[in-house]
Amino acid sequence: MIQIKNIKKSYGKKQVLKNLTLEAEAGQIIGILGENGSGKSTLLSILAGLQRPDSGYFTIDGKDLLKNSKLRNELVAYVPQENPLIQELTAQDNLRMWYDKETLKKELDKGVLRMLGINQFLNTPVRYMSGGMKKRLTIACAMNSNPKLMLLDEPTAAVDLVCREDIYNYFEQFRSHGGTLIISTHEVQEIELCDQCYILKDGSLKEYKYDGDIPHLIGRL
Amino acid sequence: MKYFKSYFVIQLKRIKKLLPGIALMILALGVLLGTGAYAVIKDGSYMADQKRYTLGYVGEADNSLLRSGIFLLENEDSSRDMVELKQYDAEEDAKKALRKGDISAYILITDEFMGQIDSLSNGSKLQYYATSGQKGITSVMMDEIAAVAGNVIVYTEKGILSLDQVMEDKEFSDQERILQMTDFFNEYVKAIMARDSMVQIQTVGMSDGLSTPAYYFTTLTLFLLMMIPFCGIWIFLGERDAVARFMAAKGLGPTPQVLAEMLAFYLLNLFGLILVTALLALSESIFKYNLGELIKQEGLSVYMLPLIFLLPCLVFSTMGFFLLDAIQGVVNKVLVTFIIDIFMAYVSGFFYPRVFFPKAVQFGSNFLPSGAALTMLANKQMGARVFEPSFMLWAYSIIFILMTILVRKARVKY
Repeated sequence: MIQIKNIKKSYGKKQVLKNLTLEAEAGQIIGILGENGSGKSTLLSILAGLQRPDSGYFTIDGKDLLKNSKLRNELVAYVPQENPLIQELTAQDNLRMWYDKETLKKELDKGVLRMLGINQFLNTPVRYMSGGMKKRLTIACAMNSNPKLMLLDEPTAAVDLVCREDIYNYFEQFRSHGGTLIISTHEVQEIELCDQCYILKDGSLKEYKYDGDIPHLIGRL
Repeated sequence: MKYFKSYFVIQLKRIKKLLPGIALMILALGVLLGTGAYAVIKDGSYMADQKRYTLGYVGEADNSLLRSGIFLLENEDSSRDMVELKQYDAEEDAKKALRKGDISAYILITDEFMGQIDSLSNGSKLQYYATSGQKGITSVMMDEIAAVAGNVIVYTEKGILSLDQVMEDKEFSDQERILQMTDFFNEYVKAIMARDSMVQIQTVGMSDGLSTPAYYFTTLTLFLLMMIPFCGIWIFLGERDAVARFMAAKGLGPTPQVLAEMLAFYLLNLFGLILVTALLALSESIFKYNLGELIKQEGLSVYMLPLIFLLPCLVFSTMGFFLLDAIQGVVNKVLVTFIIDIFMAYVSGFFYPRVFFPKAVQFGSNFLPSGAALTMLANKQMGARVFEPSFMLWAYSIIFILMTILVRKARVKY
């Protein structure tokens, strides 16, 4: 059970998040929608531990992750929108930062790395990879600690359709093993994937049931 | 700190990938600066460079006293190593030459001044003109000119008047007195002007107590160390903010990130220093010279250089890292860092001895990382105290590391 309660965050006089509250069960995919600058990335940064909220709580199974950064690093995986990989190095070199030799081999044989299709480009330098390869590799790097929650900031922006499909399949696998996903997105395909959607507007979250009516959604943003 | 070692290894791997390009740049820079330094030191052209000020004088060329005075200044006085004299008939011509930069300054020797010398009085002053940008040079020149003019006029006058008095008391004839006094005057002026023959003048140093070759060698090596971080500019390209944020989210915070990156970068800079040392050792064996003898530092071996320059290498690599990391955009990184480096090198006397700068600039340069590095190395070579400049270099290194961490923290947040 993931609980985010009364999160507040201000930049100077501007209050970006006001008493933001959200709950998610294990195995759920939560979509956060909102205009650019509405605070989606700020919320994910706080949950990932990159920023401190002014007040509020963030717990997984009752464990306070705002106070226990070590536990947070284990339980929460963060996949940023930009490419966080070391450009000059190969996929294997990047993975070796997070996986020891044995685990890497095991995961490539029948684990998360195989599921993400990393074997296909293991020795390719990041600078020669497509957007989809980079995103899959980023997810692979983020998942080394078997987290319970995955935070994704616009995960399939600039990713081709085949790679998107691979990534969505992996999300389904992750949730089927009891993992929870919080996705900040603008993509209809991803919204359809979500069990619950929220619109972040004026610093607060409002639940939104998407029924395929895009003009209605745009009106709500 | 769980991932510190892995991240450090990743940085070394990055550097290894980029090394061929970086090494080529370092070598090119080393060859360029080394060739320049070797040419200057080996053929002794710096000796000619010492005579770098051309001083114009405006006065009547047919005045015998002025002619003999100028002849003595050009041939006998110790200032001849530093000052070249050029005669102008009209002040306007001297002014034009000054504006064009052909001369560093000019002296207006008026008829009134010459008349007063003829009549053995010194009520009139020489008029000295220099451009406002030459404040540092002006002070050196004025001291020299004042000393020469003071010696000639004041002491000569006193001596001759004393002789005249003695001869008058002894009841010599006017004709005899004029004859003796003229001879005495010529001998006296010659003796005063030829100060080199009265005392043994030894050049103890061009600046900071170092011999000219040692000075050039030290400053050019320091300049090379300042430039080596540039050769590694590729390390600072790409989506570094995204990497920093991702690492922080995985538990590797800004502080260990910066420490791992800086340590790897320092090793790269040390590699650059070792590469240049190897290049020097190679050139020693090919061109059959000895570095210690060449720069007049007995007992100095080329293989000692990495050890000698270890601390300056640290301060320049942390400074270079801070600038290249903190400044956004490739063009900005190159431009701003280059301008800062060149400014610091210039003010610290890397291109031109700092003794020629105004006192305030000289004083201020001691507190720059480049100035402190030069002071430390100069003091070390002279066997003087190195604690203060070494402490300053350590302090600067720590400050640059802390500032980089602060910048990284801000980047991870936003």
